[in-house]
Amino acid sequence: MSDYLTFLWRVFRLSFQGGWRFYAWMTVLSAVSLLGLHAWTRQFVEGLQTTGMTNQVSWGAYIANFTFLVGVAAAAVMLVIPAYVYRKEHMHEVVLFGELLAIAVIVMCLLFVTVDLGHPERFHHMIPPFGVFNFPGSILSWDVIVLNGYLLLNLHIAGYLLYSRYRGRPPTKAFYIPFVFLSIAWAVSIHTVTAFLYVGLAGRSYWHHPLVPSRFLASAFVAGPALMILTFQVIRRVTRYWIGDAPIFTLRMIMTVAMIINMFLLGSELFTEFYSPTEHAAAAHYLYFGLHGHHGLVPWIWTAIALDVVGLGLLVSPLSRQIVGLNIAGLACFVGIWIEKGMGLIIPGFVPTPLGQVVEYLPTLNEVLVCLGIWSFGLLLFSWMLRVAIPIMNGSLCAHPHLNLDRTP
Amino acid sequence: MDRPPVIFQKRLWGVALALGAGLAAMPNLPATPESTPSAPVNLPVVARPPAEQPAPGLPADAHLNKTPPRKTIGLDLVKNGWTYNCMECHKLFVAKWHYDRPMAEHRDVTLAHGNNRFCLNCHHATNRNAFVDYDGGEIAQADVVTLCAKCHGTIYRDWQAGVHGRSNGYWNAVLGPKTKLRCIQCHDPHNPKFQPMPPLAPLRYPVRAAHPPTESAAAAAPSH
Amino acid sequence: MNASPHNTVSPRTIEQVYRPLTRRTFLKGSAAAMVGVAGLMGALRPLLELEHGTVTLDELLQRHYRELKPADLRRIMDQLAAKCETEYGVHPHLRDIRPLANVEFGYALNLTRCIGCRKCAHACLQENNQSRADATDLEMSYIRVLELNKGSINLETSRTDYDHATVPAKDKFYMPVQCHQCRESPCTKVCPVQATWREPDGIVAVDYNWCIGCRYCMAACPYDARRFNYQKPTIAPAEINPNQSYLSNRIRPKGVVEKCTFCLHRTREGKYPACLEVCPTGARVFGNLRDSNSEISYILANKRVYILKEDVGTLPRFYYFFDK
Repeated sequence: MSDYLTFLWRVFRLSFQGGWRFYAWMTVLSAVSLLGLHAWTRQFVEGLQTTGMTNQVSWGAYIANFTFLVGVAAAAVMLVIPAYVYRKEHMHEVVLFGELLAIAVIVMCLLFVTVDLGHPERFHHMIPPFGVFNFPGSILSWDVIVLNGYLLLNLHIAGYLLYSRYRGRPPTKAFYIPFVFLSIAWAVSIHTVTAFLYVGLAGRSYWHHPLVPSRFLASAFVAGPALMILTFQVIRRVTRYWIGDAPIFTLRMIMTVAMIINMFLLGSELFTEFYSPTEHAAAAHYLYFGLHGHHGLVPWIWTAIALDVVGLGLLVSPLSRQIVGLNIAGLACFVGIWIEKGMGLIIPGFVPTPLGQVVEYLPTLNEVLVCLGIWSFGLLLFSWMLRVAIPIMNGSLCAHPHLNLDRTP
Repeated sequence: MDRPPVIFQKRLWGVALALGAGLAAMPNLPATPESTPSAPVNLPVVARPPAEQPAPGLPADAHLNKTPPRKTIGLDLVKNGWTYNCMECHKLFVAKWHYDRPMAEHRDVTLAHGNNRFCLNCHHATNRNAFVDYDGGEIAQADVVTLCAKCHGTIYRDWQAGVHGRSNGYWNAVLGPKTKLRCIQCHDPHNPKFQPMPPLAPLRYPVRAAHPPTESAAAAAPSH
Repeated sequence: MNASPHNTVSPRTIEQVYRPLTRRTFLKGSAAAMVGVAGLMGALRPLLELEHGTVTLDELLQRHYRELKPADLRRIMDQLAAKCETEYGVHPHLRDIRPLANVEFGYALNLTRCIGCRKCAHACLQENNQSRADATDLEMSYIRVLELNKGSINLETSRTDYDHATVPAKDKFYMPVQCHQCRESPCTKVCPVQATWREPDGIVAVDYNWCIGCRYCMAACPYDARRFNYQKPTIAPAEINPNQSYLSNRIRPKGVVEKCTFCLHRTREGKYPACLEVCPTGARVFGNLRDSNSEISYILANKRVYILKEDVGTLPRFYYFFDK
């Protein structure tokens, strides 16, 4: 036990070791997080009128970001599958980063849901025996279970592997291999359950069709690896941890295939919605072409599609074999999918309302600040985890170090 | 004298003829409620007094506007005890009516009741206190709903069931009373079509929402 | 992990972690921590403006309506009444009215007779103590009156913002929509805490003290029947209707969902709902579906009844019919 406490103490001290760039980065992130907290506190006091949400568009930027980030969290499995199922050895060096990213991202998801609630202090109303948990009827209750379960799963796996590494002993397979395989299924489930939140609602025909979960997964498996590729290059640049090219190109391949599937599904959706002039497609009409004089989302969605097409083009071409091309492709895909999942999925579900009324939505400044605050908090968390994990993985932070007190610095 | 004189016999015949003509010309007895068409089978029983002004409502309902849509001075007068006794004037004025002769009184009445061209479609020719039934008989003022029922049978049937016209009060007869309005409490009998009324304030585009429509766009758009 | 020779680390960085804490480090750390705490306090500053009584321990410990003992419910209602009196100067007559036995409500609306005057929508605002003093909250009425074009029943080309000089307008007809108290309600299915549920007499109720404000029910409703209190309700004290019930028209807190309850504070005592009482043309019909002699049963038996969005499978208790 005391070993574990020492470990925690050393991790705590290690969190504050770094150069000026590290401090600057963390200070900026902390400042933005505090700004977001301030904005959310204002929202807590004044009610959700500080957001741009209305009775007609009752879910907005918070749920949009939540939906997108659940996908990114699920993409950790994209590192796990090649490493553990296909036994690609080169992936093992980066699997942990995927799990750490999943932890940070799931925390962001939970924060986004919390800030969206009208009464976050009543969260305990969900927890039996005091509360009432509408399981299995409500898909939101499923989502609570799978998201928290995924968080605990990744905390366990990452924590166990890191601690074993710190202690310098090989990890016992029974303590992590089953959980790793469970996390593969679980990662798919978190995103499927989040998709089912929308798909089950028969009153909203934009969401009520089976392509939604498929597109969710396909786009998640593009956005997650894109973020990972960018993260790996940051790690290469600012730390002394070595990441080879093999994991990056494995991720590139995954991204390419997933993006092809995503674009195919997009094409299917567009054809189905627009070939016959039905009124079920009113929401899609609003999104792509505008409806009754309202066209707030039209520039956004076409930008997203353009970014997706550019990203896909780069990915399938030899240009993405160069790291610069791959970075551009990754960034383009990430932003494009963020728009698609956020503005392209959530908002059109509410426009027009089931009674045909068109009310548009844009987040307010306060809402944007809360979103930025949560993103920067997530980045803060992820940066901190990398800060302490990499030395452990390198072997520098260990239980029994060989300190050479005479060495000249 | 053994036989009346011939001229006396002629007078007797004249009197007899006059009596007969008079008997024939006498109006029928007023139609009783029992002579109205019998209620259709399976009609819900409506055990409430038919002719009531809506109650001003419970004091708790003061915020609800329950005034009937037709404001007439006449109904208020009736509430205060005045009875329509048209024969007060019409026993002096001969009840003659002709298609082309304009009315000297009642000029404020414009008849715009569907296909009805004649006042005597509803009003009794000789007894102005009554309305007229199919066979020329009288329908009493109190039974004016049966007059409307002559042509508006389906609506009358619905009204008897309680689904035409407004009710106020209790849906549960055990717990409280319910009002039932007569036809003329909402419909002006000479111009029964509901006059268009100005609507109350509309739903506005939410203030917090993005891109509020411009005034011209809102007016021009045929649909929203 | 990787045992590559590239993975060298800075000795200085790691060594300090193993060494005991120096005084200098401790002082630097404390200073930084104080700055951090100050930042946190600054961020949380708006909490100072939180109205007293918004979050109380009592409320946090209150159980779900269906699990409350009568004494607890009475105490809670007394607290709510006292709160209303402190804030608005109006002491409400707040009760908890249980369903009548052997009653299932049904509501029908005559589309031939509705003229779109919106008296029902405004009566609803007044009867149910809805937030309306503030311009941003004017559209909280549970009833949305749609103006449709003659020729079809097409919600997509309908409008709610019509403002003609008089109604009915030429070639239009009107359809008010409110909560249909569905028999297969999607809203009760998706609520994660069961803050909304179907009562035995058919009314879908919301426990405002249990709702967490996630608004999933609003996303699920096919009739756009639910409203959310994005702000604290704003009502002029003179306009408060004091006849209130715990599950229907008591003054709601911010951050919870509300909706039409068929005026259960009236209908469970046998009266008509407010929207029906003010309709000038008598287009609305309400009653007990289990009573074969009721007006609503007459409608269902004799009129051409139509259900809005029947294909969604909600089996609503609200019917539309035509006379001609």
